[in-house]
Amino acid sequence: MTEYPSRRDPKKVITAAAVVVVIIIAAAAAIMFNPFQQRTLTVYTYGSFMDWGDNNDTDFFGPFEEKYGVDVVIDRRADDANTLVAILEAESANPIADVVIGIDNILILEEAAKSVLAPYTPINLSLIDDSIVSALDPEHYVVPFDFGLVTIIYSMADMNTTTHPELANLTFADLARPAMARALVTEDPYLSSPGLAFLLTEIAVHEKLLGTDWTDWWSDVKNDIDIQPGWSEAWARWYTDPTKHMMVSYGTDPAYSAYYTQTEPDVGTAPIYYNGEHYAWMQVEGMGLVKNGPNPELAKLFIEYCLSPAVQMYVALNQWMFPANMNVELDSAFDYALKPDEVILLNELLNQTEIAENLASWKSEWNDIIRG
Amino acid sequence: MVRVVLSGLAREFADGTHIGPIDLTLEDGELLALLGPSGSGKTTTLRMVAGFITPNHGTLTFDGANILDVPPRDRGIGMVLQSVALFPHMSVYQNIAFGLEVSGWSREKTINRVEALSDLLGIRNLLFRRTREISGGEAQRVALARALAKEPQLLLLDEPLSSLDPQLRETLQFEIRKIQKELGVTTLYVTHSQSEAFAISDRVAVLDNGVVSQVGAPEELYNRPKNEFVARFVGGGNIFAGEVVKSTEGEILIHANGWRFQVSGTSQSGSDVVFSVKPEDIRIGLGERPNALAVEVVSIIPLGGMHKIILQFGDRKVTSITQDEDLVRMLKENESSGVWFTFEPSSASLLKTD
Amino acid sequence: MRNGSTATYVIMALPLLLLMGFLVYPVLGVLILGLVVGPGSSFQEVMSSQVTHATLWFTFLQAAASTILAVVLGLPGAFLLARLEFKGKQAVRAAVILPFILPPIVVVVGFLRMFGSYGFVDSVAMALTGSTESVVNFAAGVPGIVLAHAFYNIPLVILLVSAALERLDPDIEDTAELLGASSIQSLRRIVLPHIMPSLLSAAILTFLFCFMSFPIVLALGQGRYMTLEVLIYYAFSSFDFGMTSSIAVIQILILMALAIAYTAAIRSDKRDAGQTSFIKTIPITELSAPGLLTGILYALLIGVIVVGPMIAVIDSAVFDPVTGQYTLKGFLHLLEVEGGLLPLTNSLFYATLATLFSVVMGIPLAYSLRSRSGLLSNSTSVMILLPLGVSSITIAYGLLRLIAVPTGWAANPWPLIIIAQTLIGVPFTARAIENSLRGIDPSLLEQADSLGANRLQKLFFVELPLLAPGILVGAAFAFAMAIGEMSATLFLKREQNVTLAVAIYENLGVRKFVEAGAASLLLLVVCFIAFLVIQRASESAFKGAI
Repeated sequence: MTEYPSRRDPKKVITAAAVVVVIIIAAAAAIMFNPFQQRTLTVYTYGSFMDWGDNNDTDFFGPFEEKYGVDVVIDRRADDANTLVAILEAESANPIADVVIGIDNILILEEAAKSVLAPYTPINLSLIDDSIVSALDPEHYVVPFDFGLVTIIYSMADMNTTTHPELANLTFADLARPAMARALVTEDPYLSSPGLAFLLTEIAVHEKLLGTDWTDWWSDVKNDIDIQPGWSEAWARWYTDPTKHMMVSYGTDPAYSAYYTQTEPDVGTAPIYYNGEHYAWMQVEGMGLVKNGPNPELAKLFIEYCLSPAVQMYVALNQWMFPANMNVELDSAFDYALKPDEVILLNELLNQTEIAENLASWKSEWNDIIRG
Repeated sequence: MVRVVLSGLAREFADGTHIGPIDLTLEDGELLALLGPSGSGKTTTLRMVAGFITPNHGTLTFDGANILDVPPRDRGIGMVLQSVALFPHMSVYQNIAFGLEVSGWSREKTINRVEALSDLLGIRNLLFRRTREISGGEAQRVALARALAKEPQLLLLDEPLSSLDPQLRETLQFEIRKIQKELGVTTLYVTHSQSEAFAISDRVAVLDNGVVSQVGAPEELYNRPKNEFVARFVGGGNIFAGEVVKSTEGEILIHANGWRFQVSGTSQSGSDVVFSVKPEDIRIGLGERPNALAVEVVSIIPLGGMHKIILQFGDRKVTSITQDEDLVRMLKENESSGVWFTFEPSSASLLKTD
Repeated sequence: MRNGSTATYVIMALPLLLLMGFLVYPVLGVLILGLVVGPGSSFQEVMSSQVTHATLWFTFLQAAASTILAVVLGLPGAFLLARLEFKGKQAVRAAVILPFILPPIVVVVGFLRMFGSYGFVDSVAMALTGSTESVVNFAAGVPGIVLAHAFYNIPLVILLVSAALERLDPDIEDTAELLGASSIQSLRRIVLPHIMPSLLSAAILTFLFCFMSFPIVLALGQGRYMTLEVLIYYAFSSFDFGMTSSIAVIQILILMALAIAYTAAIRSDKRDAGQTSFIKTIPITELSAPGLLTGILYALLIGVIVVGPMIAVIDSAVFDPVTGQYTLKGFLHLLEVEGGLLPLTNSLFYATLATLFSVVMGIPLAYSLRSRSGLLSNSTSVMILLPLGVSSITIAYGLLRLIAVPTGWAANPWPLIIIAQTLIGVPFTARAIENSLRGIDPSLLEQADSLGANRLQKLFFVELPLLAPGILVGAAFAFAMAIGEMSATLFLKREQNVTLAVAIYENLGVRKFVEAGAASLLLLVVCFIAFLVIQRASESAFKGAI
């Protein structure tokens, strides 16, 4: 008799399945909405924030948590800072974040960015060089966390100043030659901050130094240059594709290489050259108070803390940018980095008012040239 | 088991076709065959009885109780279709037990019932096979067992055997009839095959163009078709149409196709009539003979033990069936000259004309 | 619906109401906000812009080309998978779907190694021509884009079509052969009509994927090409919500046209479902020599296109490009809570529930799609394609702004992530189940009725087991979509909601290449196991063992 198959009651099966699902969801809900959590301070930042090194969030913010009896949640909420602003805007009716880190000196020019922030001038701002503070935001909606130089880097395995002497004093004219343009990877200025910095570099050099129309260079290279949507994609291309030797990246890349390979760096920097000087665009990443955030007083204390050496000492090796607080000592690997005092900052040539006025039209002109 | 009455049952479809009104009674325990050519509405009628098609008009009662608002699953029916429609994902056992299991039969009762039925149908050895591992004839037996498992009050069979080869068909016809009689289940049997209908049923209802043309026992339909359609479809009969030229007592003389036929029956002189003669009543002869009709032999078809002979009579064909081997041999040698046919006046049926 | 009870109507209406609430409302809500409140360009400006026209045109052409290539390359695979009987067939079927889950950036790297300059294919070509310079580069420009899209979508064609083929009645084919039809004729007259609905489903889903493609187009197109979706991201990141909404409106209009055309095409096909049956399978050992050769050649071709990039993933899990050394530290990273365990748990939790919900919703939706009411089936058809045909950023932003923030879910948006992942699974479950539904012989259901099964018993014991192949394919894709989902999850997630797919992307962003590679590999392995489990479950369901 037992060899005959039997049937189960569908009602029982459905009920059992439903009960299991409800239990799983209830358990998950119980775990995730822990009522015994202590006070939290929420920080929104972009995906790669302080995630490049061997230290972790506890190293950076543990002392602050202990001192104020608060749980600091570093929420790498979005891939890029523009999305961060869009999220803050969407949540503006009922903000979750207290602090946002990652809005740079171009993004802050957007009305949308200012609309989600409350200006605040921390006491510790005295520790930061004035030029950096004002390069970011004179109104202090955001204050500097770190900064870096955007420049062209090249792979020393493929080229060097002997095989390509022009690398020592690289000009846009050099880059316009097809052989060079074909070896260059950059990022989309709409979607990537180094990509946008490179566009502004190109505009500043042509409009302010050479006095020529900036659009010509892009027309020359548009069939050869490789434009990737973001820094990660660009790096993947530069690394994987044997025909790509140069990319738009950060001046600290040789330091990173030297630190992790424990040898001489295998990448070099080639800042743009004009008339006896090298030039680079400085990106300053800022942090600010979220407007109507849940814990404004704690948030202010947190920004003060971030400007202090307790956090700033970790910036170099975990963020691979220069700490805003210049009193912090840098690892010796940073000797290989392109340093601010080696170049003239293009930010000084192209001021923020001019960028704010023209950014939208520059980007759309760029798009017309590339896809036209 | 149940007495089923269809009265004025009709259904119109969106494309303009319509079926009915159909008036039909299935007596308790009888097997009634629904016979008709394709498109005559047999399957629609069966599906109305089953409840899968809702009629627009008319009533349907089971033992006097209106059943139209009862969903198919509560009508107490068992169905077997031409496509068999065994559940492909179940074993033979599961197929047969399905109706019992969904109705909450106990496991023991279910197994006993399935075993008993499979013994009855000779498929006990197939119970653990997958449905794709059994032959067509076996599949029909399984389908029948499945339909019978729940002891339905009404069994609906829609061309259950038409996809099988003729020999198997005959065996199964016989079995279905035997089991039906044994169980006494009222049965509606849809078929387009006259021989199948006649072989299996208590009564036959002939369906023409959506309405019942004639209902009766097979012999009655065969011997006394009421109209041309039934005569043609049931008897495979020879139809003659003509004018009554002389009416005497109980017999009339009909002028048809340039010949005079003597036929039993009454009709007014001068009226148009149609009559049929069954093939086996057509007698063929050879040689000169007055008062006999000279025709040509078109073909001679052996039917096993007998022959079907098709004659050309004017512009129409006349079929005869004979067991006379000598006649057949002579016809073959004769090269079809001097052939004639005749029939007894009493073997002809006068038909209703429309 | 003759036997429809109130319960049946409620069950039919529920998924539609959920879609209205969690999809149509947030999408339409943000579109209206964007168009009316802005800020940014007006609808007229966007519509009259030359850039919009050119982009729309390119988007359309590349999607059409990619769809054709995916169908051409996928169809033979569908036949082989349905027809051949061989050891490890389940594993092959589970592996076929893997390309679908890989994040675009991983696929791009794999493509460069396989098809790029000095890549695998190029090296072979260089060796053949004796050249020292790169000969071919298929990983760039339009060929690269189309090839990568084919890579992603071949699984869709293979699995959806082979599921339909498995239900092809061998009798019909035999009859055709008896009637003297050549194999080409029988293919055209018997097989093609039979698989047409599923082929159309696969084609329309593929087309939508390629139409909505964004990172692949930018990365492999080296910035020279863009799709409407790229324009949306441009507009969104520049806070031009007027333009974001305008382009999303264009996407919706195209989607509606596609969905309605599909429904019409399916409706015009009036054939009855044949008997529900099984296709004839041939053991691989009994294959004729030319047949075997063709099979091997095809397997090689698919191997190069599909398996190549996957091997690149394995390599990336152990080779660190920063130090230039082989290492296991990627796997060690996976053992850490934040590095692997949390993302894995999240991924499995979200994707399993999302798959379950998309199947549960997909069944009534499939019946709605089959409804005789044109309004119901068309609106269902549009609604279920919406998550694929409308920019994911629009959906994610709508969910966040109009649902998460007002309800307070934004603080811990895991229910919303599951909802978003369910939404993108539904197109697959509903379509695949609808295709299976079409293949069920109605007389089987009538048999069940006549045997006294109630609605639930009929569903459980007859319909669901017969729908099992469709549910299997639908569930597998729903799982793949959910676990590979990036855009919406990336947008909605808080720190504690990181999934494997997100972790891969974040690791790549900070040069943790081996960590990303190991996470990709883990994702592949988890999905492979999940697909095997889904197959087992659906097969035992088919055998009536639920």
